[in-house]
Amino acid sequence: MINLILNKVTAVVFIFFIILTSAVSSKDTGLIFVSNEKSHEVMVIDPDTYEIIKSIKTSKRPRDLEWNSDKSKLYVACGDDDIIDVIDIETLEIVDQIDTGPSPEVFVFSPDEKLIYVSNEEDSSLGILDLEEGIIMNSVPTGAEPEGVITSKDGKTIYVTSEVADMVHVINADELFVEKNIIVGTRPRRFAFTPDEKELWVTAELSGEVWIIDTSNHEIIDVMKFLPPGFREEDVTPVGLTMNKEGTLTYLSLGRANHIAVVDTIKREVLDYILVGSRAWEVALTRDEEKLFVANGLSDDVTIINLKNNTVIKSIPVGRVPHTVVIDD
Amino acid sequence: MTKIENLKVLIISFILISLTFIVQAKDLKIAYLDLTDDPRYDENLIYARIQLKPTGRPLIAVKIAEEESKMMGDALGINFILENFSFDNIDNLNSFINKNDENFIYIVDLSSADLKNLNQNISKEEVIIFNVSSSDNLLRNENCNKKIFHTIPSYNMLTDSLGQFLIKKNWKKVILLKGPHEEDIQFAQSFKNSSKKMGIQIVEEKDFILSNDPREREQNNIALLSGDKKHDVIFLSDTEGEFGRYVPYNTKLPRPIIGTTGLTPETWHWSFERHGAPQLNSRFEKKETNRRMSGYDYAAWISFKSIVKAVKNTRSILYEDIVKALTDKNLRLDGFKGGSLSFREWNNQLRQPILLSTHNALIEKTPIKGFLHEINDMDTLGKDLKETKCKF
Repeated sequence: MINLILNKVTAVVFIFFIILTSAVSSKDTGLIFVSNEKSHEVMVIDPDTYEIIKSIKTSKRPRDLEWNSDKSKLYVACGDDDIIDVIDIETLEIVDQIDTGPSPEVFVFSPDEKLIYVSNEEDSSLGILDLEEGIIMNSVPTGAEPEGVITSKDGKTIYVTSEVADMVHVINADELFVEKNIIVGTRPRRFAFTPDEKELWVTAELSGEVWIIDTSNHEIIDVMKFLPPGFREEDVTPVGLTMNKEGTLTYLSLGRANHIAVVDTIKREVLDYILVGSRAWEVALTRDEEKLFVANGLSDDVTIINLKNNTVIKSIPVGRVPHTVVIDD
Repeated sequence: MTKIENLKVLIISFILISLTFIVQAKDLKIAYLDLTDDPRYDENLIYARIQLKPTGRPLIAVKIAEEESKMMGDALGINFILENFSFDNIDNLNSFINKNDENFIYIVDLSSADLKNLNQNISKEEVIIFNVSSSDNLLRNENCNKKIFHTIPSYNMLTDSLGQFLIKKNWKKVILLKGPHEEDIQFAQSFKNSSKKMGIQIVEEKDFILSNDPREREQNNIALLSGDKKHDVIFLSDTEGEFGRYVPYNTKLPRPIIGTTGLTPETWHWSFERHGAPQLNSRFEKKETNRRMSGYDYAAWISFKSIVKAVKNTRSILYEDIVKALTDKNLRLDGFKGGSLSFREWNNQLRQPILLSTHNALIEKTPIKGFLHEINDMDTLGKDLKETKCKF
């Protein structure tokens, strides 16, 4: 009897184990995905050899890339075709397309994954896209050329930058109205939250700064400036940024200053500058936080950095005007 | 009413009163001035779409800037109000500025001759005037005026931009053709100065006239004008444009034309694809369906934007604060041409990249990489602090 039960348990555990391993093997491929704005494709890079294993042709002008929660699908905002393409990660094919408003640039999912919040550059609004219906349900007017979008983990607040209006809009996600406009530096671009969400960091491309917002009262608590050796203030044009899970380090691209800044998030001090390609924009951190991938828009390549010693491993040519890079791990 | 209810009413009315107090925004008026019969907007001229000439009145571009600035105005609690006034003649425009106590910020669309007239006749002390369409060098040097800010580049900036390109290409032998108008002569002189500065050789200089008279063929026949000495390119100074349109392909030797035709130094170009330029162009083309955004439109647009930026930086709408913020090197103005822009403190000229373009393509953005300046590379275009003849 006991034996039988044990056998059953073993079988169940065994089956469970199989499910688990197969689930794991379908994900965590480690593959690197890069959107190329001008050659209308998403490049797939092998994580071990750093070779391009596939070019997935997309709609015109692919820019931002976002995963769904189980990373089975990659969503690609295609600015010139007003569409989000959906890539299936197992087959590496486009399996679906979602109409957006004009010129989608950057987007995020709502935490329940029912909605997509997308900044529509051309008609200066944040579109709220219902994924089930596949249509824009609503939109919130923003300043001209909205760009970066991020939501709080509880899904209650959406933050959007307006490049032209020099501000961050704080949007109430339930009622869809702008609660507050926070004035920041010139041409604000992208966001990152500290892991505790107490601070929201936003890059201001043309004033060469990172503005740090206290999320409890939406006041500015600090402004950071950057200057890699040999560059002038006006060369420093920060755009992409990402933080490690511990909340101790921030990696920030400096655009035309062709460097990545490694920042102590708590002390708000620059620890290091790493030379990468020309006009470094989006950055992506591997899950083990040992490598950083950087898309260089003007040298048409992606730089891979070893974060153990902050040195460049390699730069790989990827296609015309790489915009965003993400990793499946 | 109970005491508590009374108190509630009191509190609510107090909140309401303080709210109206907070919400009450301040007004900052910006007046756009032009002349009804400005010959630059002659329909026949506009029809020819001559490079470097305005293709329509730039008021529409200021309206776009006004729209772009509404949200910033709301956040700052300031209404940026655009008004526009057209005048029959320059005297009336001058006296409007001098006798007006309502406004102190003006965006003026005037030819060089009219702007010079205004320059000599501003008696009012506290005014800020934006010049959006005169490239006259003297207004930035000997005849400069601290009340006038220039958002359109000077001829010096335009010809330095061409000079950098010729050096880069190693096209150093140039035939210079110039027309009879005052501005033709100034643009040609400006190119000669740039050439001297950069080591470009002007192998021959000739004057042309617009005529079919066979007795004047030495001056009206392009083949005769363009052939004698060994040369790499022809620089043409024809600010009217009617002669210049016919110069390409009519030269004796197959040589490119630069200057006012062919490769021209532009303040803005509709085909520019970087730094958010396509978005600005598309906002313009939505409003104005008959034409594309020109350099004059750009200068008018960025004039309004720089006022808003100055107010944002100083959080004040007082004359002296705005002037101080405008002339601060940390103005950090977003000009959609890459990099942040600011005004040169020595002559109130907006430092900015120049776009070398054909009629439908951008060939090179200047300053070209490698032309270095000790302070700001954009100051390799035009007269910098050491060379300026402006004294405020």
